[in-house]
Amino acid sequence: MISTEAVKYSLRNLKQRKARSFFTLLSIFMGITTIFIFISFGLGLYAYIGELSGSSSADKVLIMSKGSGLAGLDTAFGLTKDEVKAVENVPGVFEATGSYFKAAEVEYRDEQIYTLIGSYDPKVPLVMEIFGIQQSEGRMLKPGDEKHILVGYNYQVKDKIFPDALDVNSKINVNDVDFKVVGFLEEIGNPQDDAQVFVTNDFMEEMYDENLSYNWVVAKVDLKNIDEVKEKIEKTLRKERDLEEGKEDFFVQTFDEMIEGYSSALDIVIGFVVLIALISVLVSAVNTANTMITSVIERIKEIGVIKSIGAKNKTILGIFLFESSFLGFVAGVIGVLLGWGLSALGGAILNNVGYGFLQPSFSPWLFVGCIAFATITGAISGVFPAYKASKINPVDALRYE
Amino acid sequence: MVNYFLFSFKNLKKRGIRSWLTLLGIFIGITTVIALITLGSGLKAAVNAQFGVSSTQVITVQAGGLAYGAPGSVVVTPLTKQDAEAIEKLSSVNIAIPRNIESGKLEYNDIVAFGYAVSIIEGREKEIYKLLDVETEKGSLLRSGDRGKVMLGYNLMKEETNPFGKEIVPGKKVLVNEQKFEVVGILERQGSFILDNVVWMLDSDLNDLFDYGDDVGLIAVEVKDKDLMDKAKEDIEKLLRKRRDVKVGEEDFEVSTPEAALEQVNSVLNAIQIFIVIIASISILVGAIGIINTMTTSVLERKKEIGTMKAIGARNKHIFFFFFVESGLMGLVGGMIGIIIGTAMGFAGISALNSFLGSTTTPDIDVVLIFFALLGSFIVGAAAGIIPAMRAAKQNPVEALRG
Amino acid sequence: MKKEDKHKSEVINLNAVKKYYYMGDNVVKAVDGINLRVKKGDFIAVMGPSGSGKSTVMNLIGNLDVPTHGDIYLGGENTSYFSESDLAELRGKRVGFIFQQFNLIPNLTVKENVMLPMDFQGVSKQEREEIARELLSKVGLGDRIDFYPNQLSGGQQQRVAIARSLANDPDVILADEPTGNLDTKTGEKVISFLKALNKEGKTVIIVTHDLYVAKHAKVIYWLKDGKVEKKTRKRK
Repeated sequence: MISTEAVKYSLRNLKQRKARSFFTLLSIFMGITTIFIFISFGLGLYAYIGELSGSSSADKVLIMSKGSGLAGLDTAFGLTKDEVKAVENVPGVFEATGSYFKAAEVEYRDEQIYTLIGSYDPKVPLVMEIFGIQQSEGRMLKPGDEKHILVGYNYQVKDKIFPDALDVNSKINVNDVDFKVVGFLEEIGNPQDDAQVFVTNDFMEEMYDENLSYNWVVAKVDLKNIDEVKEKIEKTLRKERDLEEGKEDFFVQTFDEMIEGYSSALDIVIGFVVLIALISVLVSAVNTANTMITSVIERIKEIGVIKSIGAKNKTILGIFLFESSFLGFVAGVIGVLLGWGLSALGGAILNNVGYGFLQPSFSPWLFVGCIAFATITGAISGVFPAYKASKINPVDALRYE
Repeated sequence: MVNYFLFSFKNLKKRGIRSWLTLLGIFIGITTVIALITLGSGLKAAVNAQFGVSSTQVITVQAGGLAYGAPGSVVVTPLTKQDAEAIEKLSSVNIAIPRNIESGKLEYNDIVAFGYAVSIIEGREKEIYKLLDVETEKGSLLRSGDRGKVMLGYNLMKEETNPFGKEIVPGKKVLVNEQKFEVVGILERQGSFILDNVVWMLDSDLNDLFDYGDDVGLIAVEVKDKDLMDKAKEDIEKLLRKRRDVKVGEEDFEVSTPEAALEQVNSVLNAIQIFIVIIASISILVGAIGIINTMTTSVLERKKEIGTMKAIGARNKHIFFFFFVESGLMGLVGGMIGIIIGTAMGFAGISALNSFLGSTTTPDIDVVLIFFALLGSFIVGAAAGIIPAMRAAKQNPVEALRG
Repeated sequence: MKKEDKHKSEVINLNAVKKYYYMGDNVVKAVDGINLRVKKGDFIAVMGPSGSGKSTVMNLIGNLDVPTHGDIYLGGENTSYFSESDLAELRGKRVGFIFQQFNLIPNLTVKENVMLPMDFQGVSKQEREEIARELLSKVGLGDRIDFYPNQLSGGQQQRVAIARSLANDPDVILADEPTGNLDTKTGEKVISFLKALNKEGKTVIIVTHDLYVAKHAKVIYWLKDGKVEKKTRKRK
């Protein structure tokens, strides 16, 4: 349908109107770059979330409070040791363990910060398993550890939490108790998590003489029947806590279900931002249409000449459509290249300021998709002008001054 | 010169569809930005209202900890009732009321929901009601001796807004953490999602349920005089430092004036708003590019006109202004349309927000915003036209006349 | 206006004026040495075939262009080194142009077109309007002052152009092929109009390739290859 001559003609026209073509390109590619950047970060976040639900989390079930407080931190809710035992006895449950979480004041060399202190049972380290977290320095907690503490990644970095960096065997004070640091966790990627500290369940019970109850519980269950097991756990706990169905003050979730919740929230946020960016693409489509109409008007005589030497309407249509699509295509390519560069730069910066979990992720489909989108936008904006061009009457056109 | 505007206007009208397309670009961009800013301001107002900071003389004192959950729930060393008594003795302080806020289970009509319950110190109800501007919509306020009784926030009354599927009115009985309580009053609408869903009961009842003893979630302090606000803050800080044996700079508590409490929230909201507006502004930029395009074409098309005008005595600056004003006008018209539609959309968004959050924010027509938007769109349009206008002005009349 | 010298009575003076175009190694000598003195009240025609340089000469006379050699005096001032902007203002004050293709501003009414040159000279709105009305009734278009150019015939448009050229009461009217786009009858009307203007005392210069038109002038400069070949005077 489109001959090589036609293509050459189009391309030369675009080259000639360099300034005009440039500005149209600029319009389209700004929108494309923005969309590219946000989708790449979105993909990155999905990947991050996906990573969390790796193979070591699929068979985990979480039990948390349903109160108004932050899940897992509601002080009005707690599971007792008996209840945890009851959960463990549910058929299909292999192990169950609980964790405590409390507010903590961490002091080191006269500087103090507030963070969370958590605890787990080193014999049943399901919590760490779920997130696949290992130590980056030193070791994880051992059963029998007293006054030994495992701290987050950022403590070993100068000026990240405290002006002085900590080492294995450093001494810090938490809630008026002196501890020796035995290890640092891997970097999780956000400042709050990388500042947490951990002790053993047993020691936590010693620290607080009040009756502690677990703030959340993790159970490792039979993957094949995970949904059934979940229901059985719910039933058992209901009985233990003497609650009617539908009135539980807790909820039981597979780890994957929890992740899904985050994904949906992410969907909404990314969707909203991309929507805003789409508006700029809309405006650039308007600009492209404008450019094409101007181009048609400028070349009315030319079109008349081409038609008089035998070109069909279809050919003219094809030529102009090609021009506008090509503009879109080039803009798309520039847009994704620029977006790629900026995303990578953004990721590096975020990593530096401690928000390493916000990284962009690039999939070949993202590149192809954006370029295709730009090309189609170009094509669509050019449809009306191209149609008008094809319908020009050669006699009138040749007379046009 | 009035002349310039009229001339430009006629030119724009003549060029019909192309002028409109250019305008379309600018106005879509401006609509988006205005709508988002209006919505953002509405959101901020609604969120601020959620915290119900009505009185400008109340200082809030909380124990240091993390901002998770209800005040006082995740702290290291809680404040106590004795702390409140000590604060009340300060000269700059009028009254200091200890308050406890606990999260619990509310049951009615066989349906369970989770929310917050707050305490009322017996003997000081009148002061509390006055300080927090509490009044009933139905029924009566809690009084000393009203054990086993509760007041409910406005949203918990109507079937449409409560999670129980049935209306709750004074006289009905509800279960709080499995204990039976009689509802004596429903409070007036505060317009705050948080406050309108809260259960009020006497301190002794709440203490029985949650066993916090002398611990206190927060202390609400009324200052004797608005002007003494800063001094009161200092006094309280000094006092608590002594009581809790902490040094300056190592405080494990927080004394916030009303504004400070909201600052953090607002700074986050602001950051989000700025971010979104920047994205939306890309559309305006793209629209400006459209103007550059259109003006460049316009200059080319009117070469002969330019040559003629120069022949009959137009100086470079006259030619420049013709095109400069024309492109500014394009920006301005696009801006005006954008402002009207953007404001309308912003208002619509705020109404939606109101029904969603239960807030009563009245959308504000921000005159400053509109003024700057108009000015801005003219400037954007004019700036986009500078280079084409300069090129027009510099044309050689002989060549221009050749056409 | 500042110079009190021998050029005062001369409206326009071209003194050994040359206009060369340099394209790489080639030189195109569009105008190759012309002396031309236009005195007040003159009625001059500049004639020549295409390629004779008459368009370039017209541009130089009207100060639309500057010479590469020689000097041009307009109203006694040497304009050879003027900036285009200053030239424009002087031009607007002293020269009234009439073009072959009329060149009216399409988006302005007839009245506004005539007002425009005065606008550039800073004349007040009231005065501009008065003068425009006067001139338009003078050319017989008093009843069409609010029409747009595209609503008028060729002859009417040219008459508007004439009115426009008179707006600032210039020293000289410069007409470039004024009848080129008109039929013979309308063309004649235009020429007689110009003649009448000259009788009233206006200096008129017409550039044309049409001998019939040129014959109405008092003096004809014949151009060939960028130079004045001969000068003929009308015997009457």
